[in-house]
Amino acid sequence: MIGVLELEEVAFTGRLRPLSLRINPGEHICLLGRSGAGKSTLLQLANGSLKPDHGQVRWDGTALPQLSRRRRCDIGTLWQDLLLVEELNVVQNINAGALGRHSLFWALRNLVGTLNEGACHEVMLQVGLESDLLFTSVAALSGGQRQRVALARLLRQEPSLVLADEPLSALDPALSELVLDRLLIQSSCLVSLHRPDLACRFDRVIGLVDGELVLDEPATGLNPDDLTWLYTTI
Amino acid sequence: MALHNDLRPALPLLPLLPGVVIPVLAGKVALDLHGGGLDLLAGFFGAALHPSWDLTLIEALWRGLQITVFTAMLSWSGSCLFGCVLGFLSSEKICTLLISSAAPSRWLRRVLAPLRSLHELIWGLLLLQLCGLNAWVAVAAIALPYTSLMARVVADQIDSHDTPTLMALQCMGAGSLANLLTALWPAVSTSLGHHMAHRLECALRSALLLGVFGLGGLGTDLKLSLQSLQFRELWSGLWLLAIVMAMLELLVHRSRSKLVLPAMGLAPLIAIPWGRSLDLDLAIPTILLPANPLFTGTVRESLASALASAPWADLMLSTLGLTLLASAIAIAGPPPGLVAPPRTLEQHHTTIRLGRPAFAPPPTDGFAFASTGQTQSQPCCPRSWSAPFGNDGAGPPR
Repeated sequence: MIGVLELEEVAFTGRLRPLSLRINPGEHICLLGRSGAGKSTLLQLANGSLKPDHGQVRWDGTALPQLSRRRRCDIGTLWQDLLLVEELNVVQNINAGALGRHSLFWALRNLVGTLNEGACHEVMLQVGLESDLLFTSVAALSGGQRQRVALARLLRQEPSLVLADEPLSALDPALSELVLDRLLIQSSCLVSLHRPDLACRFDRVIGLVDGELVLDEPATGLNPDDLTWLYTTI
Repeated sequence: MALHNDLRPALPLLPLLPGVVIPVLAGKVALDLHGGGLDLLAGFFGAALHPSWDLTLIEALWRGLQITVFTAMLSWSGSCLFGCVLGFLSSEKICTLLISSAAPSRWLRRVLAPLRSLHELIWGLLLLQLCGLNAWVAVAAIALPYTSLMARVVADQIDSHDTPTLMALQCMGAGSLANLLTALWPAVSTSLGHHMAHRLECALRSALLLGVFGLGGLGTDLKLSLQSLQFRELWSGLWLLAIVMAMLELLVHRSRSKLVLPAMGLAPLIAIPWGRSLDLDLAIPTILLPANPLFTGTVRESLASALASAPWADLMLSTLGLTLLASAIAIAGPPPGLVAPPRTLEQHHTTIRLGRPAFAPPPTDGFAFASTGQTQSQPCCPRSWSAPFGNDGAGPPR
């Protein structure tokens, strides 16, 4: 029972109808649905950045608001808008992923100097970022590089569960492949996509239409062509 | 048709309405104009090119300048330091993040508002009456309103900053303070650094102004020179101050405000021994001691009777009247400039930017203070925030 996220009759007015969902350890879930279907809302409810109007979200049996700082580190999010600190450089942004495991003094040292350069270098290699970008301001990076910095920050966090909101949008095929590979080697993940053709790479597929959970099935045996209705329903 | 009925005609001329006072005032000035002071004016401006080089005078001015800079440095450092702390505490965003309620921050803002509602000159005169002539009086007179102003700027900067990153780091488990330090501080520190650098300039001007009103320093020397019509002596002091202001501006510009934060911390460490070397009275002001004569019954009674007999209604009405008059001129003055053709405006703007010295000319400040005996409003925002054709001092652009 380590690393179980449970959404129990969770709803958010106007965006998501009551739904229940359980993400088991080691499970990789693909979340499909049209724009505005409620995918981002579901992910925000799952990571606690949005409070549900109804229902409860629990991590290993503890409600999210009651989670300690350390246990919050177990849930990592790759945001659609990346949410990097624009004024900081790459290494400082990557280290921000580990803030939950360190003290205030560590955060201060991260701001004024270089900290854990080796660990940052390692995650940068994993996401295919050149090491000479270590001290470059993230504001000066391209879209693809920024996406990988956000992914590197997530890896530096070392979460048990990854929630990723459209992580492949605006990425070229090679980069998409790399990012998806990195997400799928995490212990468990919930990844929202607009690519039904990639659903077969996950263990389970869930689909949302107009804020309602309309599909929750194992990915095995699902034909990507059978999922296109999620995008055509009006 | 319905849409047409909903539209309201714009009233572009309404902001110009207060401008009716301008021709009235101009007429009054024209009627009162006489050539009696032209020789004096010529003497004043002529002396600008021939300042006095008398060594005794230069020594006195140098000492006065050091006292002014000492006052400015200490008050600036204290106001920035306390202003930042109070600004953080009075930020609704931070308060909500730390204790899930914005109410304490709102209360703190209300408490701080009266501090900045009084000009530093008024604080100076009040504290001078209460504590007597003491080096800390001038420092406190500047630091009190500046702290409140700084707190307001810091709080507004933080609250106006869009902070989804704060929320993102919070979801990752970052502690509140570590989160603020990482996600917020880098975003606001640059603009705060610029503002703090600007406040140092303001503090220097304020310290000079307080000197004019008897709190010591270069301002006192300037006032004495002006009262005795020693324009050459006066200009020696004004040029000395201009050089210091220019150097300060250059330093701030070159360092791109990066030195501001270290300077803020180092200022008291440098200034206090410096003040001692200048033989300044750095003892605790007597208001804090039981021996203060204000605590005795006789003084308290005479103070109460003076307060009761003051013509408060007249004073308040005349103050309000002057405020309205000045506001009317400030509001209605700039818009007519927009009537000029764009090309002329562009040239005018370029001329101002290229032709104006990078530092505010303290000679005119000092002269205005000393000759009129009235306060000059201090700019309260960095020059970079100024609109091309006027600055309302409202704060940074959002």
